[in-house]
Amino acid sequence: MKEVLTFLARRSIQGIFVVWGVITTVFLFRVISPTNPAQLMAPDDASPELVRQIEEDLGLTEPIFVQYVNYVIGVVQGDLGFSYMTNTPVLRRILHALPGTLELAVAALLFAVIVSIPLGIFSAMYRGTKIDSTSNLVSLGGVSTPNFWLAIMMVLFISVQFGLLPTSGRPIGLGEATGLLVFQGDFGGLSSWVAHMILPTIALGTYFMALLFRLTRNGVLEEMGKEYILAARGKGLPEPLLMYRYVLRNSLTPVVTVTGLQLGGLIGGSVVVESVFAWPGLGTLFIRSLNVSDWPMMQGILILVGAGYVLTNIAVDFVNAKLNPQVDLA
Amino acid sequence: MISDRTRTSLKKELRSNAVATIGVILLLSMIVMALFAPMLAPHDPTDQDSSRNHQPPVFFGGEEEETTRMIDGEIRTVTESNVGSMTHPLGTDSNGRDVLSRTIYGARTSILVAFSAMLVSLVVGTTVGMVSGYYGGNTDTVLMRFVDIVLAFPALLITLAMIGVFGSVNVDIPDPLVVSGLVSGRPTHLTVPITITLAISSVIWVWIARVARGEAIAAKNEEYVIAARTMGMSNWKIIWKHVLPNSITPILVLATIQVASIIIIESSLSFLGFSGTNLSWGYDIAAGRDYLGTSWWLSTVPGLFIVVTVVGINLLGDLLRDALDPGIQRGGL
Amino acid sequence: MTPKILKVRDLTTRFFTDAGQVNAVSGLNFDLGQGEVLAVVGESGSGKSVTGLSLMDLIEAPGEITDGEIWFRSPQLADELGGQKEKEKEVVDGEYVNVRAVSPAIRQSLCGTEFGMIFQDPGAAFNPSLTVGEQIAEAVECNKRLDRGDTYGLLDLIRDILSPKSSFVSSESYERAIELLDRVDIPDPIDRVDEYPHQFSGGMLQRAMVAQALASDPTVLIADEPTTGLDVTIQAGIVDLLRELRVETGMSILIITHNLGVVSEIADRTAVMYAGELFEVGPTPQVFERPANPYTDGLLGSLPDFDDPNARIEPIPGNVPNLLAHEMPSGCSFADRCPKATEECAEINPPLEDLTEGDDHRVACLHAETTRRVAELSVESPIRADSRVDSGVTNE
Repeated sequence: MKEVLTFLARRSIQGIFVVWGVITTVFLFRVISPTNPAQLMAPDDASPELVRQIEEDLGLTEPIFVQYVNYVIGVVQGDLGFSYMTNTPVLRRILHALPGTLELAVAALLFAVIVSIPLGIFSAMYRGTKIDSTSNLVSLGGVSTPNFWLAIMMVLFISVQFGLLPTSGRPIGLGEATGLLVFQGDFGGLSSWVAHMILPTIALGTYFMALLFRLTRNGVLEEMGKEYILAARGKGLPEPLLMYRYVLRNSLTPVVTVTGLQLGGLIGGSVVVESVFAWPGLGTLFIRSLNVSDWPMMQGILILVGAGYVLTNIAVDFVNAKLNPQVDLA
Repeated sequence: MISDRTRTSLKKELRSNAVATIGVILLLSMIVMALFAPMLAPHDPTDQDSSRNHQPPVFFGGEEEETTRMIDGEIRTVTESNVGSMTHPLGTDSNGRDVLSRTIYGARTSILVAFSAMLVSLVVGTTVGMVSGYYGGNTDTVLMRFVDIVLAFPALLITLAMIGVFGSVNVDIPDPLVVSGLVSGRPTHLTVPITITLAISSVIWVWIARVARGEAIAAKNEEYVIAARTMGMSNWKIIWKHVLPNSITPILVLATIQVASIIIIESSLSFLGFSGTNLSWGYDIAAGRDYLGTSWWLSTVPGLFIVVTVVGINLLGDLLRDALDPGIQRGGL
Repeated sequence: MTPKILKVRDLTTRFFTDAGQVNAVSGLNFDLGQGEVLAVVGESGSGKSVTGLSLMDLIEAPGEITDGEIWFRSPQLADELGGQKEKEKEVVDGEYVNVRAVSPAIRQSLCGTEFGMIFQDPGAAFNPSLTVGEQIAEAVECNKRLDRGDTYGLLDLIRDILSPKSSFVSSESYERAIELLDRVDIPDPIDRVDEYPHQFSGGMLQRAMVAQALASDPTVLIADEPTTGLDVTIQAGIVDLLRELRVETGMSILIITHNLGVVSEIADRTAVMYAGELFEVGPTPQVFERPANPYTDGLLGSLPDFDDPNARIEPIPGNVPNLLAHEMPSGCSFADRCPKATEECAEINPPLEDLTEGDDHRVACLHAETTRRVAELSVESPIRADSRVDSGVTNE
């Protein structure tokens, strides 16, 4: 227990450092960026005085260092500033867009894990068979296909040609849909949610699935060649238990690591997938803000995603240390 | 740089691995396409003509439609059957531009960005990694924390943010094949998307740096390095003469695999409209999205080319890893 | 004479690799007596480890046991199987059961109850992510379950995955693991039982390996190079331990080694392997003092002589032949290295035959008689604990 606490404390300090670095970086982005927010906010025919006035209101006339300290203090207190364009609090807009992205990312992650790990094990166990070579080919395609193109192709074949699933949009969130089901016994919300989720989930999750498949397959193959597998068989360990406790558990370490590392990739990937499916999420918000140089919004998203990544990584290291006793927590 | 043993194992792997050979061929043909685009493209990729728009690829039939046209000073109703022809083997887009030519030119942008971004990443990443791993201590801590910060951002988000910071900077350089008069009727300049290249490099270098650092740490405790140090060789010279040559193989393997990521990132950025040039696969896919119901080939064709290129790189990457990484040996006793 | 516990007939194991078919073990014939220690010696690549794995049925693709019978003496099992089917002649012969012909389930159940194995590299033979105690307890548990005839299906697996601490192992099995660790002289077994393999030293881990093999209370223990890679003093400890256990439990031990010192200390009989074939098998003193195969003679001659430091070490010229089937010589596989080889040797591959009636010394050589006579005349071969077969022959 003690070593768990030391581990968490040490990693938290490191994590705080990284998050501070993230905040500093995004602050610098805004400072370096050539756009003048006051110019953006002011009407086209605004007098130089008005622009000057807006600059002062935004605190842009202060020395850079003071701006920086103010920004960091704000972020620490949960104040990510106001959007240049809509003048609404950034945090509120982000929290509004977050569920869309989170639902998509988690669904893609689940899809990838559920498909790839059993398939990877199966493929390794039946190495060299048709199933194995087919899965390998599909996974090669999976890691080589850009998600937005896959999304468009799915829309083309499934939605446009067969009219099966909706082409875009997110009319209802999971929370709302569940509420509808629980309180009014209405399945419509949930089924609409599922229908709209399927294509984006596959589009976002395929690359990840292919990657995890390869890792699992290679890991299992490598484990199966180990001498302790022979030893376990020699002592009469039942085959299912052997596959789980000896092969799978040991080959899971890289899988868990990559899952953690790729979560950021999923969020990044969702920017493009959201754009294809007109999905109201962080990605769409980010692109929209980028097009109008709404820096506070972009900064907020970057900080949130960066902090999320740091947290996930601590969790991943922790899980790995639990899976693999050779990794020392301390 | 590359030892005899490496070369032998590469050759052996190439011989025994037919799939990898396919990968190498795919990649090479993409590179050739990119290099000689003006010669290979049957048409000017920017040449618009609305009278021949939305032609399907060869062997695919289009719909028959009645259009009213002014022909020889008379207004007539003509039944046009829109059938694919060899003139435009992969059809035409909404502006009547030749899809095949556009796709061939698109390879240029992808390959150009991929190779230049990888070059920048290799130089920066290897330098940082070598210094970090070789010197260790505080230098290492500071550099690696910086790497951690970059890694905390998803690659695509940070490249987008960099585009936000620097705007879209592009440089047009004269196309040597056109300028020298070898080919005519093709665009005279090719666009180098500077911002995109640098933005992508700014995330890719950290991966290189991490591997380079690991290799440098392993190499610096080797006896030949210690020997060189006791003989009073300067640190930079040791890194250059001893550490780098012994670390280069895994770095190059990783670089190969990362070229695939770069191509995907580049096409994603172009898809989102930040390409800096409209001769790009991602751009064409985005443009074709509006005509999915009628002109399926517009988005399909450039995407297929991306997949083929990336498959080629991945196969090559697998080949290099199998051949050069002694950790993963297959078959045998 | 003690009854035989194991009778191996024509055991042949091949590997089908990209480079071609490898005859790792070809037509092996030997017996293992009850409570006997039989040493299998040979250079690296002579097929001795594959022999051990074949007996345990642990050969994996691309390898395959292509031929042969392994008769295991088990009156109880013979009773159960006997009279069942017409095929019984191939499966049951009196008290013996051909374990190559029984169903896979029975075959598997024998590993962990009747057959135990000690592996060469204990560091690789323990799962790094489970504690040593857990792994030994697993073996105890397997033995118990197999004895009861329990089956283990997917449902059991799901139950074991979902339960917090591995429920596969009962607390009694765990207690037994501690006893076993204590039995193999591991200090503080109660503490060490919860440690991971990487926390053990090599020698301690080999002892734990022995404990794991003992967990199944084996009738036959196959020890594959149990002392390789250990310090000389620790080697001696392991050999002592095996010798004690043999007396204590009455089990038969097949010890695979290239350490002739170990052989002379522990083995009742010695079998010499070369290129996947048995060259000579007989009581250890006879084989050592009056070797009847030039190869055995060469092996012994290639050892350093500790009584006479100036004596020349005579390495056997040449190398072990490639075991690829299409490159194997048609005659005796040792012919081109053998000092006594004649033209005949290159054509005839001699079978393993009794040297003299009744003395249990068998040899596969056309020149066995002359070799033996010369050996009788020469001085006894001095054998020391750290002398190895492969010193001067090949370097591993």
